[in-house]
Amino acid sequence: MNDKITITRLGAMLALATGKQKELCEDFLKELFSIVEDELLKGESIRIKGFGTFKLIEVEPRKSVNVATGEETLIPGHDKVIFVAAKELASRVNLPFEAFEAVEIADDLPTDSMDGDEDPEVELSEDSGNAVISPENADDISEASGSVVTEADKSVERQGVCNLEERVGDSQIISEDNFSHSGDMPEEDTLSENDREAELSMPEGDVSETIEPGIEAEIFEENPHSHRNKYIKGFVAGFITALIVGSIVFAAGYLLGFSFGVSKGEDMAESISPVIIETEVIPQDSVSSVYLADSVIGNGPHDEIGKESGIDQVATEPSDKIVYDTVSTTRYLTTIAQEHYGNFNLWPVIYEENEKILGHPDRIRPGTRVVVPPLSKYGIDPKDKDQIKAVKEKGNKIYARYK
Amino acid sequence: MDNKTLIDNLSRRLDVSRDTVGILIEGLTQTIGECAAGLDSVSVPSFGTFEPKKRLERVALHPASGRRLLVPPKIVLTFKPSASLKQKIRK
Repeated sequence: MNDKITITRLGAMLALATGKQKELCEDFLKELFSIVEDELLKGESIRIKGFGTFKLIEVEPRKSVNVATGEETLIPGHDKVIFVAAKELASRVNLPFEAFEAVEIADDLPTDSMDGDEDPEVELSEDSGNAVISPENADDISEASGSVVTEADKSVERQGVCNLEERVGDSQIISEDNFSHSGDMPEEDTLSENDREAELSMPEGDVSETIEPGIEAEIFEENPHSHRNKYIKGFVAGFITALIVGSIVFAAGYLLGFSFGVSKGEDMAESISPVIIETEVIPQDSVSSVYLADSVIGNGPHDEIGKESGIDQVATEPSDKIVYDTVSTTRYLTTIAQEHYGNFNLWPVIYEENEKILGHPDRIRPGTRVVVPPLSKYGIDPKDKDQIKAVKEKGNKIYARYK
Repeated sequence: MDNKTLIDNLSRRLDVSRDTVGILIEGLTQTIGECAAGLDSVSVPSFGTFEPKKRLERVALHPASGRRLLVPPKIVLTFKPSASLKQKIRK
């Protein structure tokens, strides 16, 4: 690397490569270059087959300014030596980078790569924070890194020259990374998501009440304060709690389709008997924190609604696994529909399911997590052409809303 | 001077067969190619230096379609004539 090889060393290498005598090789080199020099001095070009062409080109006379004095001088025209490597030699020199080809860049690439980098990191930290790292997730990550290493190894072995190849390896790692972000991660997400949901549905099932896990947590937090502090503070805290409880219950009642009065009645009973609640808080607290984390990552401004819809799912279909998917700049609702239902025309089904967190169907924020409902929930058969037509029209109606 | 005359001249001067000269030239191409691929430059006294240069990857516009292309990095072999050769040529 960056060595200067002298003519004697070159002769030795040449002797090794051709199996000829060292003296002959050195003589050959001397004679070769002296012939080339003589030819060039005669003003002629010389072509060596498989090596390249030495030729003279004329340099036009040009004006120049002496920087110190400001005088204009004329640099006379002269000849200069040019070497153009033959195709064989040029490709041999470029061997370390031979594998690369010019790649077309998509217009939206910069944002895409940023999103791709951010999302998985957030997912991972979320996972470790809640200590629910699913085995698949961990495996996938280790696999990805493993493949990167082997790729780099291969390239080093293949070309056998250290430093350059390190660079080659580097760039391959980068490209590998990109692939793993764009290709593997979304599936990974849904997998780990599924697992977590499955685990979560267990404590949820044990609990007799299926109303708000958040409420109990809040009451639990607020109550000790109100006991310890002065009555006024307690009253204010109680009032705020009541407000929050009321709003959440209202939203929950609306979403769950329960009659408003019933759920509120239940809730009132809850807040009256805090002793009972405390026994239930511990399993539910972790649940609520997970949901909070979920909704914060999934969709910033729609926190509340996202939380509600997630709970709605758990409450109404505790036995079914809920399939989640994440919209990105390269994965649209149509992509998700194609993957899950086998027909991209069925995207309005996903849209309907997540209507509350989505706006214009073409302007979904990348990173938004959507629930992918089973087709049976809407009674749609993916093979029935009439139904697909109906779903398509539903899609047109969705678009019409935003005109 | 073309390749054939060069080989003739060399075989006469070195007193070896043309085939041998052909093998030597082939070997020279291979050796210099290998050196240059490792970014080692080969200097020939009073003649010049064969210097490999690494060109970094860059973004270029496709002239026909106008799309952006990522052109990969590459190594090119350049020749830098020595000062003495330059002087001789200038005169």
